[in-house]
Amino acid sequence: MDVTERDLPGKAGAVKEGYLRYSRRKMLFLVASAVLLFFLSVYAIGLGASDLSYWEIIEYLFCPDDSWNSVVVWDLRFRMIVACILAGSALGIAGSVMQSILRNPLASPFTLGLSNASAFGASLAILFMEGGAIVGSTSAYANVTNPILVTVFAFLFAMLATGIMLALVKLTECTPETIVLAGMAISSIFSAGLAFLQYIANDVALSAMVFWQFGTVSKISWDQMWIVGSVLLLVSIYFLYKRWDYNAMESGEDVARGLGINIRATRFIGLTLSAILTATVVSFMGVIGFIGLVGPHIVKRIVGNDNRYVLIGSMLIGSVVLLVSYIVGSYAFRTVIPVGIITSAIGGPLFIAILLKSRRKRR
Amino acid sequence: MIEAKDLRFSYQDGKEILKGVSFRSEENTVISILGPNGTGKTTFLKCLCGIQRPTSGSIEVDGAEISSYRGKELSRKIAFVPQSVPPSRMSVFDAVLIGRRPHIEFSMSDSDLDKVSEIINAMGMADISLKYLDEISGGEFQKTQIARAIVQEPSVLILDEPSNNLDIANQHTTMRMILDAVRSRGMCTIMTMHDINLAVHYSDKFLFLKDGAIEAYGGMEIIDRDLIRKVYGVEADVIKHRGVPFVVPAESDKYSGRRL
Repeated sequence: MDVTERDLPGKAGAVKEGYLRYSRRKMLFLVASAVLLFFLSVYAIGLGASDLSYWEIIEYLFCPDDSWNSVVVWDLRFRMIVACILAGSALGIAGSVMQSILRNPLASPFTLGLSNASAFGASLAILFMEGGAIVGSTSAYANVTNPILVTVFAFLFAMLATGIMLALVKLTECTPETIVLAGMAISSIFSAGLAFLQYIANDVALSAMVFWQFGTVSKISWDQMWIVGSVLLLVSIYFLYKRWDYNAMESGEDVARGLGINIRATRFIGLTLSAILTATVVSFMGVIGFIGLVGPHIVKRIVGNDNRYVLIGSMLIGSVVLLVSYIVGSYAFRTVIPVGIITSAIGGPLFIAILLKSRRKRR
Repeated sequence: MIEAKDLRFSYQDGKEILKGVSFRSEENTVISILGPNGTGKTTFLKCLCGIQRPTSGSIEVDGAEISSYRGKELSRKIAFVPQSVPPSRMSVFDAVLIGRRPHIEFSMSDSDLDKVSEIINAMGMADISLKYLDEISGGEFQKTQIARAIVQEPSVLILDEPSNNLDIANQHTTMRMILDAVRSRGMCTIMTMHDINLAVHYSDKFLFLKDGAIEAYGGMEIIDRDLIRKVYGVEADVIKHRGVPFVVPAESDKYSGRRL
């Protein structure tokens, strides 16, 4: 008798204790991801043709001078790593927010048609505004000669696609299914437009277009990174503030409404901010696929659909995946392969593996 | 306390679902809403909790019109459990914790965790509190949803078919737990029910809806043969079992001796 009496209040306490331990495990995952990202970055900064010790790297990192080695450390190695982390975080968090507010695991910046739209915008600028030319003499590659114009066009078209999507959603009364279908429709329209532009383009413009579409972390400058970083910071603070609302929306519209959440506004603002974030990244780095899909999925497999952990986890894992892709693309082959090709090549099979595993679990 | 006055609801195509429903309920009361399919029960509930806006009429909770409450204020007054909720990959504890959303500004507090732990324990879910929603049974899932609404600490708890998809044992344990929770917190509970005989055991009052209007509202003494015929259009015997009415449909082939 004595035992049960002490047991009863204790059992609720045990539930709480268990939950706190469970939360600590999830937190541990985030810390482990951050540590992994840190060591990957350290590993990546040591890679390269110039033979530099870690002491030298640290020296150049903190006291840069005019030497070539300093340029290597800052503008080649460190810049790429920061670019990977910014793009990985931005695409990861944008993907996870889109999946939550649309209640659709296939939602991501790319399945919603934003990437094709901005690729179309960039190509338009390259073709008709003469934004492209062949540059370089040793290994001639096509580049855009007017990056600002091309970037602005890429951004405008990504926002245009978002605008069309939101308008369609409003007309069709905003069900999550229509948003993804609308995204697919928009995506195919822009990819048809893109194919047409490529068909009528001359050799120079064509190669500039194709080059622009390959997602790469090498063409973004420090100034542009400040832009991406500021947008990322502001948008992710807003997303984190809204994490409870996104969790409630995971339980369906009626539950979320009953909890006092304005579904339409939350969805509209969330989608718009995700689009802005994606468009900013795509404009400066081209099309880097699958990060917005694979990052959140890996995290959700481990911590479940709890946005208190998924949002930050997706940023970290998105960065890790992108950084690994960058390392593989840059050092695993004889030539440097744009990171966008690698993310798609490893992202696709990884995604299929995740699907298969989740299916086995359900059985 | 909740009071609805001359509540009307029509869809945009002009189809009238609710045709002037008025009723009032005090705290610590459990009301079952009964009536045939498609008679506007769910619409009525959604209007009461502010998810759907009635075409005309007013709803007051704790003395104030519900439209005067700002988003989160209203969700501290009324909690709603819909008929079907899609299961997501979230633990039982986290799913119940969402009910604290109206009380959380940026971060949850220790007392939020205490309240969730208590309700999970009280509803007998201590052992499954860390399981994912897609791993538990239908009955456990339903209890999770109800726990989520109770931990919201509303004055009015609104449940749409809480006993749906539950076997007979789970029906009674779930209803028992709802009663215990609402009685100890003095909430007013309004729920739609299909099974009159289950409703009889767990409700103080009964509201019969027919074609979007109230046919009858009162204690269990109002349940009789005539009312069942009027509301559902079926013949039924209402017999007393230990002083409680029990409705037996009289049109069974078994009674008429016809072969199945």
